[in-house]
Amino acid sequence: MKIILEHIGKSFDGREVLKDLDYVFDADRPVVVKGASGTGKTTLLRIIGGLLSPDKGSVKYEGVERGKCRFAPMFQEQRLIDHLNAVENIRLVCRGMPDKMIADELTKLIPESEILKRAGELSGGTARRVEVVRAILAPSDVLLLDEPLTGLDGDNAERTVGYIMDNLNGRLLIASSHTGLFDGFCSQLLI
Amino acid sequence: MQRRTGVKALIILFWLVLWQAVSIAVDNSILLAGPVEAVMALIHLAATAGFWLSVLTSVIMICSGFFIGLFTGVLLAGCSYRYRIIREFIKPPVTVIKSIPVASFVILVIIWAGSGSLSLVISSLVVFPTVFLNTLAGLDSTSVKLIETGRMFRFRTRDKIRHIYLPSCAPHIESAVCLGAGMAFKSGIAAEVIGRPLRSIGTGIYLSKISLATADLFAWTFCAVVLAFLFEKFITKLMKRILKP
Repeated sequence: MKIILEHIGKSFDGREVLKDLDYVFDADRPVVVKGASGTGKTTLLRIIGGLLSPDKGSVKYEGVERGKCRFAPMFQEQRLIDHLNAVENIRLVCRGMPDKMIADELTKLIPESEILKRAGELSGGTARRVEVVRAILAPSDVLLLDEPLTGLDGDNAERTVGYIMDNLNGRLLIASSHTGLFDGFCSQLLI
Repeated sequence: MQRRTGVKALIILFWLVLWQAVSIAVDNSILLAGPVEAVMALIHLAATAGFWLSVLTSVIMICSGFFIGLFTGVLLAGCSYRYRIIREFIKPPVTVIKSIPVASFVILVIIWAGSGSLSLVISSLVVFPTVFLNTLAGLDSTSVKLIETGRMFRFRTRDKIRHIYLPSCAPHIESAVCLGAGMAFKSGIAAEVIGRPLRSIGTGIYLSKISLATADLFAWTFCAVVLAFLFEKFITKLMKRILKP
């Protein structure tokens, strides 16, 4: 599938964040969006995900109907359901998947002892990795990961990147990151 | 813990003794009946079938009114949250219901429907705006970020309600229910005093007034206070259980 951006423009309070942006995202080619803080990485991901409308230009979808494109997002900040544990959080988006399978998948990124803790009790880094697993396991066509490595130290960040890249299964990956860890696997979109 | 309970009991005992002492000093059971007289009146009333029938009728009417107010309050708050037009439509009558004195409603209900279901209508009218406004405030304070997450991941509606909206609404609904339970009993019984349906606590209070039986008045009042207290405890526990995500 493809997502085609045509002349995308977006301003906030008179400040132009995105200006005349054209780009073609292809499922065969994962993309990392890079740029300094405030250059519009999050805005771009929100426009692609349909959470924000561009002021100018359009987003077109090829290979999937616009309303039927399934996104698996990670937002800039932690967005787990605090009163549920990691397995329960993932079960909400992977209906029918056995808990054992979810737990096995989680142990690839987080210690087993953290799996049954409430999300609200997890450290920032651990919660972030649970969100990575949730995005990977959720049935989707597009992974929209906004700074997925926030709060992760060197080893964990590398392991997380490896986990994401190994589990794309033909889905389109659009990630934003200020680190260079995705550079070896993805095309770069500088904004 | 035991010491605190002991202190509480002593404080209550102090007030009861003071009440008894004042009633002895006044020496006029119409002006002020003492606690002993009130208890005797309660025992006397409790021995009659009419007392229990009145209590049962009032409890059924007021509790039904409470649940009608609770249900419609939550339902209409949900609709108002979902559809702006319904919110705009419902807010004026809610504001009106909230500000009109209960006594005016009582008279209107008596004119329109008689006094048979008076306490039911009045308690539901008192509970409804409190529950509606609190639930709506809870829904409005739901995290936009979690709503977005639920939408993007296509949560089922029941999961959205249970895990996103309910945790945000629960404290608001709980406080409305706690407040509403007490208000339902107070206004329901006040309505019964004015409307005097055939059998009710309010009618008992009214009859004690016209026969100048102050001890009976205290006995009925004690009964109303205990019922309101028990209902509030019960409903608070029930809501905590229901609203647990």
